[in-house]
Amino acid sequence: MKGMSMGRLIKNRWGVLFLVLILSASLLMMGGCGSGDGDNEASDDKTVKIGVLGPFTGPAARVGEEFKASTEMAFEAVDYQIGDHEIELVWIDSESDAEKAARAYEQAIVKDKIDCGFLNWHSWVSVSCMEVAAKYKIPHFFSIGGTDIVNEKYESDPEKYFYWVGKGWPVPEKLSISYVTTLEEAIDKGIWEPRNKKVAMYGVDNDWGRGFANALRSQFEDAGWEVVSEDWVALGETEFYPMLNKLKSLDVSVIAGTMSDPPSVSSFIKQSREVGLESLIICDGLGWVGEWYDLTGEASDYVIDQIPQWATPEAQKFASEFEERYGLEPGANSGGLCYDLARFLVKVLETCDEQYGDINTENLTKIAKDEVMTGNLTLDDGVMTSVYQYTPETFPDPVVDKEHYIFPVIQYFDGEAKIVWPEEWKEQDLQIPEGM
Amino acid sequence: MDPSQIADPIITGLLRGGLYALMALGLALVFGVMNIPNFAHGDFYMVGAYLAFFSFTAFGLGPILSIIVAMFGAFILGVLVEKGVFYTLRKRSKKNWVMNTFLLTLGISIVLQNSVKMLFGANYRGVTAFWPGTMQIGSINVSIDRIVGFLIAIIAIAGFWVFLSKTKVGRSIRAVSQDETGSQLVGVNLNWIHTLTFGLSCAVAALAGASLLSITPASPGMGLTPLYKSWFVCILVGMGNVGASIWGGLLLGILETFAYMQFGAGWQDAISLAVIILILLFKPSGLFAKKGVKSALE
Amino acid sequence: MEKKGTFDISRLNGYLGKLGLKPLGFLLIILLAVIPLIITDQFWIRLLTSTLMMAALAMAFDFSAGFININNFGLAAFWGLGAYTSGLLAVNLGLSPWLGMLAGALAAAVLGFLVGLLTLRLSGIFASCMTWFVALALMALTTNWVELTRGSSGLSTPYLVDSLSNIPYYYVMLIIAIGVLILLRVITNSHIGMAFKAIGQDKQAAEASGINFVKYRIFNMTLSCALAGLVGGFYAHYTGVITPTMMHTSNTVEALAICYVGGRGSIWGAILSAFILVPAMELMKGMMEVRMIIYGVLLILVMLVYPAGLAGLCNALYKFMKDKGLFRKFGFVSKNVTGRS
Repeated sequence: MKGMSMGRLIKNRWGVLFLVLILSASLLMMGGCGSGDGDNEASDDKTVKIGVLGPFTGPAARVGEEFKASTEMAFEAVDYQIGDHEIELVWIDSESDAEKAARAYEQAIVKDKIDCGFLNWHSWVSVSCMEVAAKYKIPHFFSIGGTDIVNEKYESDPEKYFYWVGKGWPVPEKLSISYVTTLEEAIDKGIWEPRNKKVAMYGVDNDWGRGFANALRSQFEDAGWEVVSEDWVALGETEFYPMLNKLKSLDVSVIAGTMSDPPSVSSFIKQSREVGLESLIICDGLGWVGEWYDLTGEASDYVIDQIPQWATPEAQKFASEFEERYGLEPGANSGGLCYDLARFLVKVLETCDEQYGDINTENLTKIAKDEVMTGNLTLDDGVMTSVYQYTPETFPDPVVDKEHYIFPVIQYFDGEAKIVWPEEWKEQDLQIPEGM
Repeated sequence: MDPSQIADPIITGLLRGGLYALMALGLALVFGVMNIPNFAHGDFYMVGAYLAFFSFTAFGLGPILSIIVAMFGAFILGVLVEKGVFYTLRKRSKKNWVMNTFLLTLGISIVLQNSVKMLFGANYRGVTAFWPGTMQIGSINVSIDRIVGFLIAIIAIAGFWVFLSKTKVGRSIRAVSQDETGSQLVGVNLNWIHTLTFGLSCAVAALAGASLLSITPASPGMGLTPLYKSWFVCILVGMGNVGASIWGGLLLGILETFAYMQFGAGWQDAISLAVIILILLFKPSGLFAKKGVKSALE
Repeated sequence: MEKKGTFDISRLNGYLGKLGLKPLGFLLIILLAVIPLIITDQFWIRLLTSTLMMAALAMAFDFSAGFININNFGLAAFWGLGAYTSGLLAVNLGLSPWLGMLAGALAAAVLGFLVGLLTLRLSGIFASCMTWFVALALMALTTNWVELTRGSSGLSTPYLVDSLSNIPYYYVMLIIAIGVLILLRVITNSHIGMAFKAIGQDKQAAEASGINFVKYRIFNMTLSCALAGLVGGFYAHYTGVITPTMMHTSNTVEALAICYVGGRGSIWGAILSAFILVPAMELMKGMMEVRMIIYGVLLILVMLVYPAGLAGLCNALYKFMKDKGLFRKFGFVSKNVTGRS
């Protein structure tokens, strides 16, 4: 384009179009800047901004959608009003990626000036955002990401990382032991006579999948099982024929593991039936997303999972309200648990307002330290599990036992979950398909 | 090693490879005839999956009809894109054509993917099965869907073969791919052939996406994997070599399955990449290089 | 006898010309240097830092795409390689992030050199594809080598400076960006740049006229990758966490779009378009899809209707104003204008 003159440029009507386009883009941008500034000034001291972190786009976008819906429901119940403070929710998109999440989180702190953070789904996102929360000293309440890496990071420097206030999900081994117990009890009672005590582990290739499978692996080994293989698959993988054929040729009685995204997990279950895998399947998190049954169909029969059920009337009320409003069936964890945690957060905010008269980052940090971490402040009327409480011994995990926080082991039939463990809640015995 | 250990991956690999072959066929055709290295090929695959999903679930069309609707929809979209973008560029300048069209297809890919995302969200939309049931082949069970998918691929490839070698239009397409100027001299309408070729290539990609719907649910970013797999195939056999892309597709399917069995999930892409890189290094014109076919060499 | 003021400006113009800069560009750089004194909002400082970073990446991209006609589709992977090299050295060996940045550049340079060597026989489009495949392989390796890189969980890296303020990061990035600009402008304005263009347009003709194809092509790719690695090294200690997804093709596409909208083969056009596109995209963050569609449409439009991009537009305006004699009124001497083409 050497020496193109303005005259020629104007004669070229495409050039003019381009010029106009660029100009309007710049104008748009400047307009955007202006309105952006306006927003910042409008926020006064009485507005409390809460940054809600979740995978709103990306492979786990569905979880994000339910996060959004259930958080909104919890805050609508108090009309977005705590004392004379108005609550404003700021959605922070983690895109299921540690680095993008950290960037977005930092952005929310410096740009939107959030007073505290709330929620999160993936553990690796927790780890990266913990760093940011610690850097800016912003308390972040009840993130779901549950694996050991979060605990490790906290324990590496509790003084620094306590801003990541409490996990809404305990480390996997505290929950996964129930699977082994369920199987062992079934064997003891003579319900099941496995042809061998061989088990194969599988999982999504990230800290959650690996952490879960490793925890379960040692629990199986302690119970006298032989772990014959481990397979890790990429997030979003939908082709499992080669892996399933390999597992089939290994002749294992049980395959156990977890995947966290709907297309992978549904393809996995479906294809395991297609190749005729003759193993009992433990698939932690199959029911995490509401409409999983539409994707798997009857292939999910006999699959074992561990998910809280809509047992109480309050829980059923929440689930039906949720479905009515958003046209989505809520997943137990992404919907129900999140709803509970949001209500716990409301309680935290109320306590903060009562004690200090003002809700800000500093006071919230004090509440976190003095009330939440000590176990003084609890949520006693959860819809998913009875009591949410932290103690100095368990922190950052919640207290896990039958009185507090526990999930039943379930087995699916025709898309319905039947509780098979523990004894107290049991709806039926563990069912074993023909020939296993 | 017992024979089923070799036979099983080959069967699985072939079933997988059939659709790679189909995808690669479309890519090779567009490169051979129009000299466009199509980066948006995977997105037409995605469009096909979405069209099939909505025809199947929302309009209750049968599986075959849904797949046909997907093909036609993508064909029309392909024609529009060709007329709107490549035809415009061709009129304007043919300088640095290959690189420029490559970048244009990149832009088309971004626009298509994000438009779909905006319209339908990032949710996964899939069906449990078009044809429920499984079938025993050798020592392994395979779902009917996969077998039908493979058959569709074979029929489509065969159909294409007949079309390219037996019909007048097909012969014109081949003529253009061999000698553009020469074909114009004998009265081939170049613009029309280009539009048709691009449309057909898109239809083929959509066909693959639609037939695989029960295996890979539709989502906006689903096209990337089939895209680079069809690129592998084309480079493996030599760019623009339409016939050989079929064998390349099957070969890649088997290669991947073996990699998966040997090294575990997650590594198969790294292995196939390594193989492709080696091919480009030591035999840049592809495994089945033919005279008259464009090669990767300078 | 010239007036003293004009004399000074022309002297300055001469010095700047050697650095491949224009007086206007120099003014803008000074403006960028004082911005943190005017804008104190951390958000804007961070945004400007990201903008400069994308600008530097787009310039590195342009250095290959606009001159030797190879679109480095693996640029993001070289960026990621720099980040991981620096991050891993800091985490495992406790190497200072400052040295880590250089190590990152070195690692990317070595890989860039190898890729350049390996793609020598391939024509432009296939060499581009090859860089892309290498990038995909590198990303797969980073994702799967969990013991070393922690895989998709991401690697936590130490921060460059121990401060809540983003201003130090801004200045480091500004220095890197200006360094990249001057380095690339000086190289491309010299006879080396001519050689690049010659081999990019027609290899045979270039070789016939005695240009060492091998030397120039490998030099170009090595340098372009090294710069991406340097920026990656900075990025690792700016965000505090890096994941394999930073090597994803979509990041390359962003650099590519910025480069092309800015005007291929100009180097400085990339900065201009980064300063329009990156902030505009950031303000539309809520509308992820819309902003990507805008990228796509802009890319298509630039390719179809105005390949010279913003740089071409500015040159046309400049020429227009010069023809009308508008510069003399302001005391500018229009002697050194050939640099912009």
